Amino acid sequence: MLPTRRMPSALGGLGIAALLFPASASAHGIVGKADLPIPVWLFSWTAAIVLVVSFVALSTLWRTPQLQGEHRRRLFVMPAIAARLASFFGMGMFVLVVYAGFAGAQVPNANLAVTFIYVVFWVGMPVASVLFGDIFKALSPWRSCARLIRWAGRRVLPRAFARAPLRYPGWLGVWPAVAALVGFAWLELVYVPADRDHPSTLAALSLAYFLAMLAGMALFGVEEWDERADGFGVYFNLLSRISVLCEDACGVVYRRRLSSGLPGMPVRAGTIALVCTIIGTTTFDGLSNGGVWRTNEPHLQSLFADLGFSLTPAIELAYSLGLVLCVALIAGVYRLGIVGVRSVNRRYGSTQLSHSFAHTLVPIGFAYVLAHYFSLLIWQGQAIGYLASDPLGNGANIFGTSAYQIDYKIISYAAIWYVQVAALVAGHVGGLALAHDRALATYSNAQEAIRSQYWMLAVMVAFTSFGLWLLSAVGT
Amino acid sequence: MGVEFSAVLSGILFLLPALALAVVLLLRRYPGERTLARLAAPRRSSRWARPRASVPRAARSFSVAVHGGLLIARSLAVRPPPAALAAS
Repeated sequence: MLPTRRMPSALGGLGIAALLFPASASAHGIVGKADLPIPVWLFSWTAAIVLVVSFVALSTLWRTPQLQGEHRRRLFVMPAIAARLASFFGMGMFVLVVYAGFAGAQVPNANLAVTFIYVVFWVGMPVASVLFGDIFKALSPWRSCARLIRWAGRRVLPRAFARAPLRYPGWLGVWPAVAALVGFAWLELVYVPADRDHPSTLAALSLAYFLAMLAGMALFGVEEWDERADGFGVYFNLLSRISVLCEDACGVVYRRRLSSGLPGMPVRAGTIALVCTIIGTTTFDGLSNGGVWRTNEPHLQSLFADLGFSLTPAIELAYSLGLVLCVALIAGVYRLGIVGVRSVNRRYGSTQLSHSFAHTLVPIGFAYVLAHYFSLLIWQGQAIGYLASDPLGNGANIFGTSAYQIDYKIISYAAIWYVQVAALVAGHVGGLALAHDRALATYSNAQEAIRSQYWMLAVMVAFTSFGLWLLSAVGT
Repeated sequence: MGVEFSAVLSGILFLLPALALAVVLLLRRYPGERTLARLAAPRRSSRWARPRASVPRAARSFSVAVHGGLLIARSLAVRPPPAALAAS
């Protein structure tokens, strides 16, 4: 066993040895692209130091729970017409995207459907939710359509539309939302590239999801289904709890403390799986673009081929396995952290603690999404400039911007890397602060609260280091 | 093989802080725990409300001379009779 006193010097020795042999670090593609002044792995160590310093600062300066209440301040009342306009805008965009997918040119870069779904919707909406609150609730096309049908139905057949015919089962929790997100991730990361980027395939799947949501809302009620089973609605709502802006049912917009919406997050069956899915699928996106996966994936592929699968199913099964393993890995690390937290005081059960600290993973999920997709948002997001004028890719020039081209020099590789590092570190410091606040509210003994947070610190450092490693390995 | 080895090595380098922390915690060590607990404990003193010193303050360097009604009262005051004598 290494004596505790000698641990820092041993770690320092390892660091010096690594600096003397930087061959492995220079293998990262990002180094060549970004020309960073220090080895990339040193960012991981620096991030760990930032987290440890944050942990010390939180432990000594943050002595009472600050985020268990939202401390709302009323800002203004959202006009009812604005909500209606947002609903119609959302439905209109949905119609446009589906129409472009079916009727437009079947070329991914020339069709609005592909860029809108994978960039604006999948990456832009999480960022907008964190900045402006739960705006997807107003924009959701399926929710708006279901509400419109309910409103019209109540006028014609008041009794039939008075209440939902079925009650949403409590045991189901948010598992349908988890399934929806896993399905979307599978489509994006696993499904054969030629098909997943095909505009008509995306349009058909969007329409199928829309109809499934309508059916669910008709059976179980619009709000119940929207809050539990709509994968995107639940996901964006979860991220919007980080935001400083929120709106109540009466349309009053409030300002609140950053992330103070998260401690009050309802933890239903499947909520932890949902957060782990968000982090795990993004993790797999990074991993599948790196050298480790590219080296090992053929072995997995041949394993499935030996079992009798043809080439395409074998590839999809190998990638599916990787996706599932990444989600399981994230869930496993969190579970280990909770087991460690429980070892501090046996008064609370593992399930109770894992529910209690589940919200601390949400900033990490957002950090992972932002870090992994930032370049996509910045670069491919510009494509909306010309796609707005020519959504079908048939040569139209509605707004006069069809000649607009993506400016890849808008941001350098080094700047992207720094944004990624900053996003990951900030997200994990946010998670640490939330965990510390919850520990103060949970434990009456300060020493137990601090001890429990050593374990959460380990979880955060692990996620940060792992995330940075994945990002640095992209393209190697 | 070489690529795989360097990838694994870089992974270890990246994850070293997390691994080190995990090892320390698995050994049931919480480095700096006492210091943190001491610093986190609510302090008895604050800038605005200082505690009273346990040692009595030193006598003031100046005293106010007895005068007026107090002077008359002191001069007229007599020692009361002993309790036993008063009882008999």
